[in-house]
Amino acid sequence: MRDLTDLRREILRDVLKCSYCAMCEWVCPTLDVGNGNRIYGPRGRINLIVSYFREGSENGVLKESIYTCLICMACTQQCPAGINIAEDIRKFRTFLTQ
Amino acid sequence: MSDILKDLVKILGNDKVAVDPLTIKLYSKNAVYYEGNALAVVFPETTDDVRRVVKYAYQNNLKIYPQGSASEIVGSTTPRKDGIVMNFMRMRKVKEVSYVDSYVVVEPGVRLIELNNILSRNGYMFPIDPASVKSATVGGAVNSGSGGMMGAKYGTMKDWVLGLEVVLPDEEATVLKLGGKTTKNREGYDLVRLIVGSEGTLALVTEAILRITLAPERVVTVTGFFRELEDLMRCVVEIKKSKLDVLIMEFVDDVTAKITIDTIKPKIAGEGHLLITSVSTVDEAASRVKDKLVDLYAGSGATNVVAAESMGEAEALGIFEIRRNLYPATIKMASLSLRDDEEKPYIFVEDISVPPSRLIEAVKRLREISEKYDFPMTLGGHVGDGNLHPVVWIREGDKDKMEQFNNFVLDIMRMAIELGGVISSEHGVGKVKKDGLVLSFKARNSIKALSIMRQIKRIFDPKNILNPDKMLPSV
Ligand SMILES: Cc1cc2nc3c(=O)[nH]c(=O)nc-3n(C[C@H](O)[C@H](O)[C@H](O)COP(=O)(O)OP(=O)(O)OC[C@H]3O[C@@H](n4cnc5c(N)ncnc54)[C@H](O)[C@@H]3O)c2cc1C
Ligand code: SF4
Ligand code: SF4
Repeated sequence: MRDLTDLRREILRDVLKCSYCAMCEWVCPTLDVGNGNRIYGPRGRINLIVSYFREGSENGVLKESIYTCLICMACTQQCPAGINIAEDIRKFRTFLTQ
Repeated sequence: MSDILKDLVKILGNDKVAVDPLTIKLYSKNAVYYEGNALAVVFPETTDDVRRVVKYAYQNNLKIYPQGSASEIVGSTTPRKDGIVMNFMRMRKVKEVSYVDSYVVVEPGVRLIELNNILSRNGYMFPIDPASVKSATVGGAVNSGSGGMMGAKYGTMKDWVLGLEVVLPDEEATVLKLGGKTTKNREGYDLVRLIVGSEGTLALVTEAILRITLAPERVVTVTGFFRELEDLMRCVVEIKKSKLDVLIMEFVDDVTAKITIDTIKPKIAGEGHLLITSVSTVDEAASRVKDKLVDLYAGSGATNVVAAESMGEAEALGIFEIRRNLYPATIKMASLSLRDDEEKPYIFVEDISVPPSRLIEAVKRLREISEKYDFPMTLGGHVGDGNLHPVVWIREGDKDKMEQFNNFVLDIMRMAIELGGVISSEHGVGKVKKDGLVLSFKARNSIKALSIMRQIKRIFDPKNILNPDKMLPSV
């Protein structure tokens, strides 16, 4: 099992670069299925991870958001901040499981 | 659940109202720094949904904060706890496309990139291309009065909106159809253009009729580096005199070009200030136009000149890479300077314009201001129309730097005014630039314009329920 503190730091360092520009959203397949609700898109997921780590914010919406991601990586290529969006979501799932 | 929220669910149905705090938080931020709060987020799907919510809001003094992608960078979407966010991303239909009459009828939640993907199949385009084209929605772009790289030729949103359907924040939630489908229209005061750039403070846009145009048959692009700004500007003047049909004219200053080259290692590198020029032409003339542009660059002292005869070739050669990476390079630069992994950088993009003939002076003075406040700044802009975008970053929670930032912005705005320019070109006023509005109108001895604007706001929005506290400075 990986050290959770390291994993947390690794994810947080990356997701904190998010500037909320929304350029990742237009390619996300789950955002459309989720009727455009931001929680089903990459920007929402990345920022829910931020809220979880920094403020401990957690409810059903967080899990719904994180576990509906297809890890298809379409969003990652769009991000001008170079955030590994899909990879961070995958790592965050590992974090939650552990 | 409070009575208000129960009522909203009754009006719209469960599926169109979100009250969960994490969801609300995601709808209370913008693409820079501002974070607000709200009672709920509503997702109208039709004009009638909008109308029914507005009617209820009017009766109950509930504020409405309209929003598309929330990619604005001036605080024009930031909501407060006294109201609800109205997000338009479920109104996403392209209702009509007329190539014969050159217009489209679209709902506000359509992203500009989605619109252009449809139009490009028939060789057409909607020419307003903000760097945020992948996120910007029609409603957001209309209300921000957005512009983009092709501004030198095509202007900004105000030049491309023919008509609007709006819901007024009045007792009846009146629906108005303003403008129409024709380019010529002289039916009284131009209320369409009053709504364009009104930052969601006057009316809710539920449909837009936008002018479209043929995409250029061929675009020739040339880039090169200039040691002195004077040489770059000489090149700009020569190109303007040469009767070429300039589409894009972008500039990145030498310091920024170096930072960007060092951080992102683009395909094209060189030393000095970077100028990119794209010219619209036809297939047969491409080679001739390219040679002419290259000559003009070389004649003005450019080095490392790279030329492309088509947009595809320009992309393959990486001609736009440095200019497009201004913002990412700043994010990278910021990330490298952060002290620990838990810190967050905020990126601020300024947006003044000066008459293009005053650009050299503007760049010099911007550098002095940046040094005065010790803000490492990247700088690029649209030389064609004199719009400059200095970009700086601040560490989250750095209160001293934030306060300095406000003075830094004030100095930049004062400089723009002194050079005969404006304090906001395409990003808007929002919460950040209200002081700038006062400065600008005072400088022109026209402060009464602001009271006229306040009266206009009252006529449209008698109870001040629509996006309050934005754009207009309080008395
Ligand atoms: C990285 C980056 C680059 C950018 N580059 C540019 C650029 O090159 N040029 C440029 O002009 N801008 C640029 N912007 C700013 C911004 O992206 C644009 O202004 C964009 O058009 C906003 O669209 P949006 O859908 O995100 O609108 P939002 O941010 O959601 O809203 C913008 C304004 O419109 C109002 N609004 C939204 N929808 C409606 C509606 N239906 N009815 C009434 N009011 C409404 C909001 O209340 C707000 O005042 C950039 C932003 C970022 C983050
Ligand atoms: S990886 Fe997840 S968030 Fe990214 S585009 Fe695919 S489904 Fe959307
Ligand atoms: S593209 Fe990147 S920086 Fe922009 S909202 Fe998405 S994750 Fe954040």
